[in-house]
Amino acid sequence: MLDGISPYYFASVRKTVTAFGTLFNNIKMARTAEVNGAGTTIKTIKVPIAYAPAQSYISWLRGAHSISRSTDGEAVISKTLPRMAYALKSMTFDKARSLSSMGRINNSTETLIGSPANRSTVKSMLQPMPWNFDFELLIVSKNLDDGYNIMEQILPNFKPTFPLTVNFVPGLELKLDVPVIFNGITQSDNYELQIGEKRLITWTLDFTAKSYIFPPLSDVGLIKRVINPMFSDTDPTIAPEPVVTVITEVNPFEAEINDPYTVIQEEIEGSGVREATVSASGESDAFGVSG
Amino acid sequence: MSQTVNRFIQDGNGPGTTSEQELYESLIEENIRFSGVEIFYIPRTSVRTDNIFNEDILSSFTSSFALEMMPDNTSSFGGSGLIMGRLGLTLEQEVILFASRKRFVEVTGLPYPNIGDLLWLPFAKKLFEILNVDYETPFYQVGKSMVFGIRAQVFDYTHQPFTTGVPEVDSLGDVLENDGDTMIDPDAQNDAIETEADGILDFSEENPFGRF
Repeated sequence: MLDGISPYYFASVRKTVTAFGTLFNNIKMARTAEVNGAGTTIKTIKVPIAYAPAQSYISWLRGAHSISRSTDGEAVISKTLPRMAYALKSMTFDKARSLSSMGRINNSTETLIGSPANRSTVKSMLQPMPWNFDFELLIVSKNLDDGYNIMEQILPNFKPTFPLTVNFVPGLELKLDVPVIFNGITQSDNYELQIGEKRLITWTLDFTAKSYIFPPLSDVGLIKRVINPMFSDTDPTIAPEPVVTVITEVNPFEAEINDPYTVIQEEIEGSGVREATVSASGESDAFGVSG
Repeated sequence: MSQTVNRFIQDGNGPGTTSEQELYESLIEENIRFSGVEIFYIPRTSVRTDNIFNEDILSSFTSSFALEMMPDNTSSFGGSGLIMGRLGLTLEQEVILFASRKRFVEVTGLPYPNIGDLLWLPFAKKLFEILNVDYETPFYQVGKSMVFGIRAQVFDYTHQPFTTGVPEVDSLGDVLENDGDTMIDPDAQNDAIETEADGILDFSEENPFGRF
């Protein structure tokens, strides 16, 4: 049933994942000479972040534990802390944000990548489907102070929402706001473990990004003429015929998207079928009206 | 005097006399020198103690002491090994090493190894953190404890300064640092995320955490 459609991929999930990650990719924490963040800054650390799911061999090749480190004469360690990791946990359709299935989004002004500059059609797509992306962000630290230092720079910015504006479909200039909602936080600390285990403290922050999945683009013709019959009453039994019909159209009618044109409008009493449009000279003819 | 043990054989502190203990201790020391490996003991210096959270995140490591130790297991490291988790691939190995008490005190000047201090294993190029010190196993042979059993796991680097005199350890900050705007941590994706986001985010929106 879904076959016959040309392959398309807007990487909506990837863009949402990237947009979410970029919220946290520039967080820095300062270690100070005194507690409570007071005193001279001894060291400023940019907190590393990574998308948690990964292929093991990629991690193997570039990790802090990598075998290449020992052959290069560098010390092999387990990991660097503090650090952050995030992952997309689940996706659910958001019915509350769903718009009419017949609504369309058109690109009428921008030149779409790969399309001819001048054309009589525009790219169009049905309304995007609203999906909620549930993310978890991990802050992992060896001590409490580092973790709180990072966490306290994140939490005040979500009240509980922070909006991102994402350009999802290139050329369509479809920039949509993706509110990122902070849902809550949990903390785990293995300090109670039997002595002999390394301490690891993990804060798990749960977020929901209200994002979208997009249907395919299609070519639709330019709307060059609008016929608007106007009735004296909404009840068709009282007013079966329009009092006046307003016709608005592009002049010249053959103009494509980048050609010069004007818009002309004519009001015609009663209803009728338009019989003539544009003369050879490009001047607008009188509209033929019957009935 | 208690007569619970045979005083013709021992003095009440287990079998063995002082001379026997010294002989046994020298044999242990010789055995470790013979079959052990050279380890660098790196003591931790506490810089700022947080008396509320009971932690010190500004520790430094400024010295190292070469000392022979005997691995408990000569066939492999213990622990879970490589683990694929939410922090990517991490190395969770552990090792138990025995050091002569007498030699440890002589070399380091410390009365005993401390939890939190580090061990550099040059043969494996691995840095370990001491998590437990057992000073009673083996259990007072000939009436005296003669070795420290040191249990350690591969170190989690938390951006401490190293000036230990061991080049591989002192260069940790050079190869793993995330200092200020510098991001050379091999597992970090901060820059990749930023580059990717440049093409999709509307920059008219202000990022509260800084530039995208």
